[in-house]
Amino acid sequence: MRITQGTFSFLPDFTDEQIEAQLRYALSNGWAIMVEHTDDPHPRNSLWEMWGQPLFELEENEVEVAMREVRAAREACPHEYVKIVAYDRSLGRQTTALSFIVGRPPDEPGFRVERQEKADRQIRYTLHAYATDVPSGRRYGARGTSTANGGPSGGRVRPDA
Amino acid sequence: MGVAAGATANRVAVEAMIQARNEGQDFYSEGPDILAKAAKGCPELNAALEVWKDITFEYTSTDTADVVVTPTPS
Repeated sequence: MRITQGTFSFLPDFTDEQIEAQLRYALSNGWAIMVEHTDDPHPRNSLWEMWGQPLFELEENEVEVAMREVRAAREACPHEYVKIVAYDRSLGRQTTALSFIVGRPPDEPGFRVERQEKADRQIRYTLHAYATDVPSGRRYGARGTSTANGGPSGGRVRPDA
Repeated sequence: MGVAAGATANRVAVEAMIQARNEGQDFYSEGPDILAKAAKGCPELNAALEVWKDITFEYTSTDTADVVVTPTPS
């Protein structure tokens, strides 16, 4: 089941050129670019692990810098979701202006609905991602070691670090 | 196709338009083309466009200040 979070998730996956066009739009508005990744795609888990530092102060013609981060994140996390977040820091807004998924694991098993019976025959519903049945780091076909205690970056070392 | 299909059609239409706007296209004049292109990959939107293609909303507003003063004997 293809998960649909953020903008453009109902459209076919973007090509790199299309991603660059969106980055150019974000930079022309002065938004900061962040790249984030996760293997826990619950709809309420919107703050993913950050890939490197947020890219503040990028000029409009420096799309390639941001794109390089995107490619590096996708390469290092082929079994995770990768998304771009554009942050509008202007006074009065100070929030996410645009965010969309740019990398997906090859196989997305999806979610199941769980029904918890409460008192008086009431039912409490919740979503459970099949992928989270195994520890973080071994989901979506990743064969790495468990990163459950690996800290916010999942114990992953950036290739250029 | 039901309300879920309508919701999908709306979402695909919005995302296609936002993508076009951010890419610098003139979505006021190219709007129908953008939607038609998006509908190629989305049967729900295609069905919605088929249903609504001839529908227009060009009528004068009924919400006008047309209060007629009631004549009162002076």
